[in-house]
Amino acid sequence: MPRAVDQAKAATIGEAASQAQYEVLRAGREKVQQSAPRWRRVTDGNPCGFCAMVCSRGPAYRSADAAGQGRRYHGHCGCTVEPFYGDPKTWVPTPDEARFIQAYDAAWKPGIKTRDLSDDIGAWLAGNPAGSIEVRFGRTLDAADGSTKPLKGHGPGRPLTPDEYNNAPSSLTDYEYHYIADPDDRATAILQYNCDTEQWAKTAARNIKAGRDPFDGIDLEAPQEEGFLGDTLADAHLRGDRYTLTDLRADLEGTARKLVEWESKTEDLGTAYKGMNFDMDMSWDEVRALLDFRGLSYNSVASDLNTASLYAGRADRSRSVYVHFEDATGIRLDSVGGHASKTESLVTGDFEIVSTRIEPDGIGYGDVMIVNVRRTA
Amino acid sequence: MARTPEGKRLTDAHKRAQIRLGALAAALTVENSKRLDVDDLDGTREAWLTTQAAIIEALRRRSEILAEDYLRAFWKAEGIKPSELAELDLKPAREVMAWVVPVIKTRKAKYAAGG
Repeated sequence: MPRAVDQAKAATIGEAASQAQYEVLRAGREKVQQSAPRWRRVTDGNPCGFCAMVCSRGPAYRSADAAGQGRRYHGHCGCTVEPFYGDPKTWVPTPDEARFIQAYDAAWKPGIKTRDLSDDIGAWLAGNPAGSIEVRFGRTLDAADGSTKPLKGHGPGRPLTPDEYNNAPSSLTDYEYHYIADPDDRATAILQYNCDTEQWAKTAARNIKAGRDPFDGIDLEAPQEEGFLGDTLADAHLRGDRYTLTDLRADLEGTARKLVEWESKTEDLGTAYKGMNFDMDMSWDEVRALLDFRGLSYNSVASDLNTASLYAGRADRSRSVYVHFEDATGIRLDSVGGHASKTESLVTGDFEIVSTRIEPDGIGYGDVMIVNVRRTA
Repeated sequence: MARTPEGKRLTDAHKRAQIRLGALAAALTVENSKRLDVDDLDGTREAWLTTQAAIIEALRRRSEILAEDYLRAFWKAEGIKPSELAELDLKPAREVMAWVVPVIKTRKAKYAAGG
């Protein structure tokens, strides 16, 4: 049993290690902060309430002194800073940042003290984990009947007014793709909204390319896994909602044909990232055995690591894998909102694993696997 | 915010490199703590603090160099006129870590008193 004095030392050294981390990163932070015209804080995706609050302000800071935040970073803080150039009004929040802004709006009250505000923001974020809420930035789509529908997604476009936000569809089935008149937008939505329609459309596209029936191997009425797939359009059909199986088949096949069409116009995506997470009970060897990117097609990727990290999950809760695609080519999707990432793209082509390594995630949750892949010659 | 794919790539790479450096600082601090004998804090403090300060100063310099390289590359990738790089005036690492041994002593006394 450790002596109490050894425990005293261990606890203090733990704090010292945290401070050492902070002091070292501070040098790089302040170099960037003081040399860049404006800067913004970027979180590790799972910030404390204070850091989320600062992050929600965007590129508001001209210098460390003007921001006054230099001394407020803390141990085990995964935040960094990024320079921002140009008009701060052109700043478009990432999905994470949009969520922090919502947390700020929900927590702010007249006269509230900063410490209370950051505590309340932290509590709000804990109760509304990433992916559980809609974000408020999106675009308006023209519906087939001539009306328009604002979407709550975070794609390019203008912020919604409060009225638009309150009246916008709030669940997946509310969207109904009949509201999306443009065939490209409708196909994009189907690829982005949820796992079922996305996977079915991709399978249908592969079938079409192989000369098979588009729905070969696809069972649209198979029982769905509870919860995760609970909002699928197939469920809407099974519940007897207005969206029929005929509608679903037509939309999936339309999307598949769009995919095949778009594949002939692939573009250079540069470096792309994909976050994957596996069951915590698996060993790294088991995870590695499942990674196979040969014959890869229509694989969703993000152009920034932060977005990909949302899908990799926290390292203490899953086997988190970050896949780095070098010189990726594929289809760039223009987000139409909902659950999509504005940086989402679909990689096409054959890829091979160049290297894998396991390293600490750098923020204290555990190890992650970094996988580098490149196109086969 | 990066406007070019290369700017984004550089920013991501810089973030990862800095995070690794921070993790290294924490790991080396834990490793260096073996120099500190809890039964002879006064006798071992100097050797521990000298090494601890050296660890932080060396990694701070590395962090600065990473940031400088990142800024130059970022500006070039983004087509931005380079700014003058700021000179930092950070508190010496020795002073920053001076609290550690006194705190261990305080806690040690507290534990000895049954607190």
